[in-house]
Amino acid sequence: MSEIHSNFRYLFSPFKIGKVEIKNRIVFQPHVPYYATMDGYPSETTKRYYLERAKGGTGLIVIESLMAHPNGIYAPGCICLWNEGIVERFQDLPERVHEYGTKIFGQLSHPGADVLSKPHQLASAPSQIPDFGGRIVPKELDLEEIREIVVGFGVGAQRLKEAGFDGVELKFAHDGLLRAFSLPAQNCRTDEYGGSYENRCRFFAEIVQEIRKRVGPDFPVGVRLCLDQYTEGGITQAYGLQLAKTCEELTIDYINGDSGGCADGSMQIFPMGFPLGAGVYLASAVKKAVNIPVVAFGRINDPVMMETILEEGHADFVGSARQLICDPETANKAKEGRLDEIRHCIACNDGCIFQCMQGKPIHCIQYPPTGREEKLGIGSLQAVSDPKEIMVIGGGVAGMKFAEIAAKRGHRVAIYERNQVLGGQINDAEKLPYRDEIGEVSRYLRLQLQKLAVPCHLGVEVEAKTVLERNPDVVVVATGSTPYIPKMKGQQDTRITILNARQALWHPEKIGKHVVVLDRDGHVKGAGICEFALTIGSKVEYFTPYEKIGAEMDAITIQAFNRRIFDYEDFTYQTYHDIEELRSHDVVMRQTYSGRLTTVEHVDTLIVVNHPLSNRSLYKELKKLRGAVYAVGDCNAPRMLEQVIYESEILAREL
Amino acid sequence: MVHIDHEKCVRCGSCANACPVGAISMEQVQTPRGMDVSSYSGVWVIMENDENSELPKRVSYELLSKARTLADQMGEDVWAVDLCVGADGQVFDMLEHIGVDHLLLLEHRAFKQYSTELFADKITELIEKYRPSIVLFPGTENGRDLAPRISARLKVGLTADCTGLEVNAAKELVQIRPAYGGNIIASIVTPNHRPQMASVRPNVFRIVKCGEKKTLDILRPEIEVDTTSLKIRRVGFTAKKTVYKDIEEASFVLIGGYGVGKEGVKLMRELAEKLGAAVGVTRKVVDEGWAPIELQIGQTGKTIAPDICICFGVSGSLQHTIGIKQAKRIIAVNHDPTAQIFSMSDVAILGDCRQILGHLMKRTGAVGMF
Amino acid sequence: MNIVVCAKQVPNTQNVQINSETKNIVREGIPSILNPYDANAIEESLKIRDLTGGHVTAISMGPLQAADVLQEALDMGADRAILLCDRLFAGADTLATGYTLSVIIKRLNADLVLCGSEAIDGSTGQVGPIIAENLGWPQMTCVRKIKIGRNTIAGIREQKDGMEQLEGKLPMVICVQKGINQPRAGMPSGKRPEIFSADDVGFDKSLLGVVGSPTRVVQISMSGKGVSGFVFIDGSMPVEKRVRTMMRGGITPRKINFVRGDTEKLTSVILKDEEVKKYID
Repeated sequence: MSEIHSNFRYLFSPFKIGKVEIKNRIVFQPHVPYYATMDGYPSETTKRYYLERAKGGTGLIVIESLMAHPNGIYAPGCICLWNEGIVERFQDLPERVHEYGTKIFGQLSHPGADVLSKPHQLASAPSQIPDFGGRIVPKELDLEEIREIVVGFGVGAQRLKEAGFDGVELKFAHDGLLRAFSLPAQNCRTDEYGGSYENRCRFFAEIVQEIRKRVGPDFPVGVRLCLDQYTEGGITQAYGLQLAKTCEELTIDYINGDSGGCADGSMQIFPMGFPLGAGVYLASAVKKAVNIPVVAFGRINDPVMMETILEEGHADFVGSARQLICDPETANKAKEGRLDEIRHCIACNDGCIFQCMQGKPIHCIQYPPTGREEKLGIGSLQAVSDPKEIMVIGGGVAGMKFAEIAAKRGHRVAIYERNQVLGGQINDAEKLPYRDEIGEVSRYLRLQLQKLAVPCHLGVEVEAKTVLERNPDVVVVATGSTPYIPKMKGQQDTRITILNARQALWHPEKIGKHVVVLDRDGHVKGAGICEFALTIGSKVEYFTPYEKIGAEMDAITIQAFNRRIFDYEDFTYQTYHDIEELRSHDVVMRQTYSGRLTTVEHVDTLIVVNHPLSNRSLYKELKKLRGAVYAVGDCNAPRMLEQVIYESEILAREL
Repeated sequence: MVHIDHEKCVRCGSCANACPVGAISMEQVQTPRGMDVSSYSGVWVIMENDENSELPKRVSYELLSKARTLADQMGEDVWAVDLCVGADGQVFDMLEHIGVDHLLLLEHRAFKQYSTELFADKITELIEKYRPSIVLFPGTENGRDLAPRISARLKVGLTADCTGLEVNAAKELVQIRPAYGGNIIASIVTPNHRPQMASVRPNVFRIVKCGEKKTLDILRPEIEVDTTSLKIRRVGFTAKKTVYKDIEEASFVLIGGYGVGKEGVKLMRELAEKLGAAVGVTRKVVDEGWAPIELQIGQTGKTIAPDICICFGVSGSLQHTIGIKQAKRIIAVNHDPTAQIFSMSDVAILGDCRQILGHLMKRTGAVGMF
Repeated sequence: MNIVVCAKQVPNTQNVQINSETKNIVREGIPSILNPYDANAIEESLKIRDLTGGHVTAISMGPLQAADVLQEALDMGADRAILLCDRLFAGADTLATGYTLSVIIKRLNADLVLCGSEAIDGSTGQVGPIIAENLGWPQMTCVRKIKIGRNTIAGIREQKDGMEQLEGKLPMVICVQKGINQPRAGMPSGKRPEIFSADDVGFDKSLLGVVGSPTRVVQISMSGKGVSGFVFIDGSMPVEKRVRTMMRGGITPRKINFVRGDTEKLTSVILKDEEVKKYID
């Protein structure tokens, strides 16, 4: 008891699932990180990834969506339990996870029609109906196939038990065959698997029976259950509760909450701007309806919030995937009272979900070691034997991240920033509607620099001669980039106010009634500026040379954006368009393929969202004058946060 | 054959109510020390004063407002009981506005500080003399120290931290309170004992002023105060190192978000002092170290219910707004038109909060000089 | 010094549920624990004993299984433990509980009684003061620190706005806050709690259990309290409305009429607001 931080009375108290005691209430939620081998075996990366979360103090890890039967695989890179020798290939994962006192469960799944990309093999489902919002047309399962899948689940569970796992979980969640069977809208079968509620749950009941037969009554079997699909014809809250009670009757040991579905990913993997603890109310309702443990879910990214959820009795466990992707040590840091060292997930979805939805290995924009645990994981940071004096010029994310890691290694680092505040472009980005959480990226870094006592000289414009005078051992130039608008025809004579994104955000008074936004960037900036202008009452016409709004954004974040901006009647958009010329009050746009011109008349403001240009002159100058000069971040080329943070971390580890 | 598991039976009476043939009945438990409940009348509130200002705490008025409603339903009078150094017209005026009928005023300098023994003795004497049917205590540290002591002396029931008070058909006080960590709501009555006593935490009930003022009947009973026999005495008091007005008690609150900046928070505190308002901040401001955690409002901070709150530079994430949902009127000042706080505010002012704060300082400063 | 410390077995409150059919509290499978505040009280009593010498007796009232928490007290180092267990005690409210405990405390010739400030299931904090009243002793509640003097006991009482320093003489009842100490881990002690029935001690039986309890619980229901700090969405709303409510963080979006203008004008809008004027004039 004594080592427990007194503020967390519930979070670090053990709790049982069935007969298995979990040391604390933090659950790493299942998800496919796409680290497995293409032929469906866990790789070393897979194992390191999970082990890292155990090292970080997590109570229970539920791994992946493990494929139960060959006729359903999300995409190559998922672990397939029917594979020969799969038990041996998990090798020592459970054993090594157990060394940290952490328990490990495996999630069993069959995607049904919800495969990620057009698969080589047939997708199958209860009836020939694509999933809500899906485009893949499945084949109707035969009775023999159903039987085979049932056995597949049973064998899968048995193999996990043999491999040393502590329990299994069935995916009855936002996607998958189990859910599809349960819904009248997706299951039109007339045999014993369709029709009545009992029939629609038969597939599920048989799977549970098959698993119990093979693993016994004491091996925990849980369900990841969708509690509101937020989709017409999908699981509703009332139906979710009914299913939860059915689970309890079928001897399921716990309910892990989940919501949303493929038709609306933003209600499944809540993006930035959505409330923290978004699914807590759903878990709370289930907790009142059943007498088995319940796991809360949905943007739970902070131990204080976790404690509140438990204390108020909304759930018995708190589940996080993204928070532990972003900071695998969340549990240990909370337990040791190091709350200010916790890196909070901002639900940007760029590094994780965006990659995952394309079947690519996931990363974290804030935390480069994710997916690279072997090289960069906990404890890999080497203290330096010969601390160097390092001058970091530029206090944006690149400069701060570099300084954090370098200072942790023992270098004597100082930051020089031209502006009065640290954070660089983050200060712009957080002004976009529903994007203020991005500020967490610089807030976290700022707190670490404070703790590490890194001097930050603000309002200091560094010139080459200052550097030469100070003569540090190493100079790191992180001077970032400047917004840039390429020359446009008619720019001199037009009466239209031309703004870049930064100007628009800081000077909303310059945004007129009728606004044209030209988005050559394709990420949040363009769509966000539209929403910004719409909020203050402007009419906005959006043009982009790309194929859609926010071409570079992940599907989930853009869904949320679209929902909001298309609410405004004053919003229109055209894709495959770029600017041709400006007239005194008009903007002429050109269709990029046909060259056809469209004139937008009576425009007050044109906001051009273009890539910025690197501020590289100081770097070039210093390079000529002395050695040990490095550049990081946008100073090299304007990029996304993930690339910039990765680059800075690697440089700081190498110096 | 019916078997009652006495381990589990809580005598809730559900079985008796549910039995279709009326075969189960609840045996009336004979209460040997039952009282003649009809001889008790009046809804009392034991007021609590702030030690420094010597004025009643907000919670006193909240309870009196509730007492008014209860008394109306029972056809009885509302009594305020104030043990204080001295009360003045300001307090009487407020009591009249709330609709208090009688004030039992005990004035003595010994009442400046709370003392379990002294207060319990005096209040018990009053209760025995006047025989009220209900006595409500503030659920503060002192109220929770005092109420059980009196209940034990009078051998009557007491329900702590009620979140609701109602009158049932039998004109009994129904005391509603959460139990088991707030997971269960229990309704409690005290059928055979008077007075019925309950404590209520601050901010549970609203202060409600009546349409027209009542005329307050002030009684100053003769009392003897002997402090020499007290077994426990206060030998010192260290105020918590805060100079802030209590945000949970305040009816006028200024709230600063990240957008006001470090200087802005300072400015707000000065302004609040001038206006007699309390200051609250968002979690980000606390994280930055611009304000102490006592001032934090929201999911991980305090919940407030002021009449008016002005938010400066608050973006309005749910984590924070949950703490101000109860505010009656919200004025939001932000230069960011997309700040979510605007969707829940009554007045949405689009402008630079630091400049506006500066102007407010000037203009209210000028008011003060007249 | 002869110290009595009161302990209560409480259900791990967050797991409390009501059986949806019978409307009774489900007790099966709900783990019971020593009330955390009482763990602090036990620790404090052991510390005082170790300082002044004497004897610590832990007492509790409850069903047989409540012996578990007394075992914990013995394992932590208490000298003796007594469980009051009798059907006559069942259904006691705070008044009856306070009476029952005060009788046994009198029998034990205690000089000092320690209690936790409150129990996490009921959170009334009433039993300590009721015991004190029954014994005719003074009390200190919300105590953060205890100092034993030659003839006196000094306590720091925690209040919202500061720390009150109190001083008094024994005998006395003290109710301690959670932060007062860090309870030690128990070591198997080999001692067992003694179990007393209502007949073993001289009680006025009309003051015990449900008979001695003036309050009656007439109804219990699951808390209507939804999800305090979290977004809550009414599941019966149409899909689109549920989604939008979620997106806007639970706030129903409404058209905003911005007040725009120069700082002077905006300041005036605030100062001239009807509600604000009430405070500024």
